Amino acid sequence: MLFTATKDRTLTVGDRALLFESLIQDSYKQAYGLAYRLTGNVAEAEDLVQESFVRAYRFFHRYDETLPFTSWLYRIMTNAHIDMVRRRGRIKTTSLEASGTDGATTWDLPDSEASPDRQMLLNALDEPVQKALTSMTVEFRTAVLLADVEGLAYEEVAEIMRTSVGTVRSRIHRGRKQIRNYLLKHAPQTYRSFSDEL
Amino acid sequence: MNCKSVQSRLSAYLDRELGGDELLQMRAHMSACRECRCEAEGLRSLKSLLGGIQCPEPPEDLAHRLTANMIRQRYEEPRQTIRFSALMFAGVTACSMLATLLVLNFGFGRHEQESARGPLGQNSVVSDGPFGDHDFGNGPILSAANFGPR
Repeated sequence: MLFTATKDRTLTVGDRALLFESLIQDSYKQAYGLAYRLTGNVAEAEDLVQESFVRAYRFFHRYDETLPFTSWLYRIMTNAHIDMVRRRGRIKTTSLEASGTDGATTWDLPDSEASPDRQMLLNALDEPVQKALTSMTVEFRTAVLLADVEGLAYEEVAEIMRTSVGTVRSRIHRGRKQIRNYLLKHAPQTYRSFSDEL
Repeated sequence: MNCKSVQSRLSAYLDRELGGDELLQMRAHMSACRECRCEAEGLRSLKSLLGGIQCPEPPEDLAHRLTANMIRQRYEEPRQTIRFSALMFAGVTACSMLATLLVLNFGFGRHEQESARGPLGQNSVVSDGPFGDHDFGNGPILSAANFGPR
């Protein structure tokens, strides 16, 4: 309903704010998830989400409502993240254990359809996976996250990252191989157990 | 297709991003090559792992803070626009006033010069442009031409 409203170019400032507020409600959890995977810690994830929504609202008049809002937001977020990385020179990462103990992070309830063993292995691999992601270049990490965690098609990833589908294909493939090599090196038993479970 | 080219396309194959001949060649190779099948299985399980990892829940008040940011922006932007417009207006006004003063000053200066010279330089000013630099030497000649007996 609200998306239909955006087609009317005579939206008042109040209507735009109302529409944007509903988009915040619909997308902030997903946006936070991606921001967390991109940055590797809760503090920077929060900064990134806030910066992304601030930019999104500032340029909301340019939003093409024929595209999903999250795709547009992810494009803003990936650019904001690159700016953040350049500004700070490197990405500081906080241990996931540390962020869990101070109560700043709460985790989703496990998927009830997943078997207990699989869920246990997934939980055990979460930290090594995040470390593997953090050790990769921003471009590889972003491509893998958009494709595998967000489940986007290569064309959508290419659109968000403003690059060709061929480049996306290569980044995803090489990125996955880097993660697999990292897991085989740093968590070989757990990773092999997980693979055998499938 | 050899193993190297198949393995470089395995991610795209698993993501159903291949089509046409490429897909058929991949399938044909995979059915005959155990090594490539194993490689594909390894990547498939990794893809499943990445798709299954849990993300932490955002802080409870995050949506509220995002909305508050938006409201702040909504009220700050028009004020910034007004401030910018006011500055622009002040700048343009100042420039206009300066330009007017310069023109008036120049106009009066010229008038004074002309007045000082009296009617002698009048025609030369009109003929030689606004600066009248070349008038001075011609003054007496023109004066003779202008003020001869009519």
